[in-house]
Amino acid sequence: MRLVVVGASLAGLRACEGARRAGWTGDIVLIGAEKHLPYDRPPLSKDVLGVDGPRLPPTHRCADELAALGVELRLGTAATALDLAGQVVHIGPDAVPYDRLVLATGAHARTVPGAQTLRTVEDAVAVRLALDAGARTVVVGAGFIGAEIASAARARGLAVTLVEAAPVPLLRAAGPVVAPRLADLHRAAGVDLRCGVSVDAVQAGCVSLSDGTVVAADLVVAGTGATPATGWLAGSGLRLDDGVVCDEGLAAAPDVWAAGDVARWPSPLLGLARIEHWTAAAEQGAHAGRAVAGERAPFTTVPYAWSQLHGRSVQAVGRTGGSEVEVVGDDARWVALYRDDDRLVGALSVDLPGRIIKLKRLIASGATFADGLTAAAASARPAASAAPA
Amino acid sequence: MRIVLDAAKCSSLGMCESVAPAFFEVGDDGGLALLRTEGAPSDRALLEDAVAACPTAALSLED
Repeated sequence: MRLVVVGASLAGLRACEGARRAGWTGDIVLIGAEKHLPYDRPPLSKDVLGVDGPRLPPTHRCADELAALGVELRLGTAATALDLAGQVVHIGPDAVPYDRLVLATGAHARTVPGAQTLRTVEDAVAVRLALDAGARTVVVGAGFIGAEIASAARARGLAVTLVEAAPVPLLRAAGPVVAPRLADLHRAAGVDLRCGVSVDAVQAGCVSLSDGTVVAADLVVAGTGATPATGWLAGSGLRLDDGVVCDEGLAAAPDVWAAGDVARWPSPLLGLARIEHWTAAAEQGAHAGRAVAGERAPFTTVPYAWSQLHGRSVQAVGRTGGSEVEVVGDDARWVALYRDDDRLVGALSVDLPGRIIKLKRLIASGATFADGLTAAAASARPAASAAPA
Repeated sequence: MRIVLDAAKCSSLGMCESVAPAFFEVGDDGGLALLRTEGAPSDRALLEDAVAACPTAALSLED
């Protein structure tokens, strides 16, 4: 029996580990488009861009660890087609038969013509080198990735223009009440935030914007989101609609599961959802691996994302796009609670890391909004009892 | 088994607390407290999940 996992990043790796942990004794083949061992992506827009940061992100596992897990690696070779009826993954002319299949091909960065993307280690090195050289920076798209790039550039004292097509950045992610508070963090840090404009053209040394202005730029980075990497699955018979559409247990077809950025599944909290977060990739990968080994169950999670904005820790759990919000805290450190009727459905905090996980647990348990307010207002464990470093 | 925290790697994201709140707690100062440093054999699966949940690989178990 052979498990084939397509996609050698976090979700794919966790699928391999999850299958083994659940008792899978068959072969495992892990196919990856990138030539690298599975590496950690969040640092690409955080530590790797820092003045004192590492040049490369850490790998999740070394080659010896993967060999010990009994995983055969096929790296630097993107899968090109899936024959569902014949149970074969094609890598160009090569055919890789499977008995069980996990799809974890992730997502591709949306591009802006002429702009650098930030998705892979090569992308991050290119951005880092430009920042090291003191680049005047324009970031297109003020989502979390774009915001982190702007933060890295400002931390070096570089001029940064952040271009956002929407009237406020992070409107969908944080909702109309909270998003302006996050935008204020950019302005306070000296970012030239331009909302409601788009990029007309990226040229040598400058960017032309839709409002007629031209911004000088040595580095232009697109932070305009990502699209699920499903092109190779066209015509396979799988249902593709902004990702591989799965059932509640992440199954996309008999003996086929999807996990990570590419998977879209019915979430009790969010409806049909595709989550591009580290924790969801890890959890879905492990879940798919267990399913491969025969442990079938619905997949549930409370989404959790974190970011560093100009030295502030921003953390978001659950469903945070709504306008029914109450903010607890002061101007510097606060947590916003999101409600749906009398239920707590989401929370977003700035520099209150002790609250967010307690709220995450409450959301998972279906707690009331009143319970959320009580937990958010309670002072967390005093610093004095923290474990010594 | 003993829970080992590499404080230099920990970024206080709290996934460990999310999985095993009886063992881990993040404070608003950003410090992670180990509420218990030893796990019973019956805690192993839970603690392995907590270790795997850490986005910065800051936790490990020692027998």
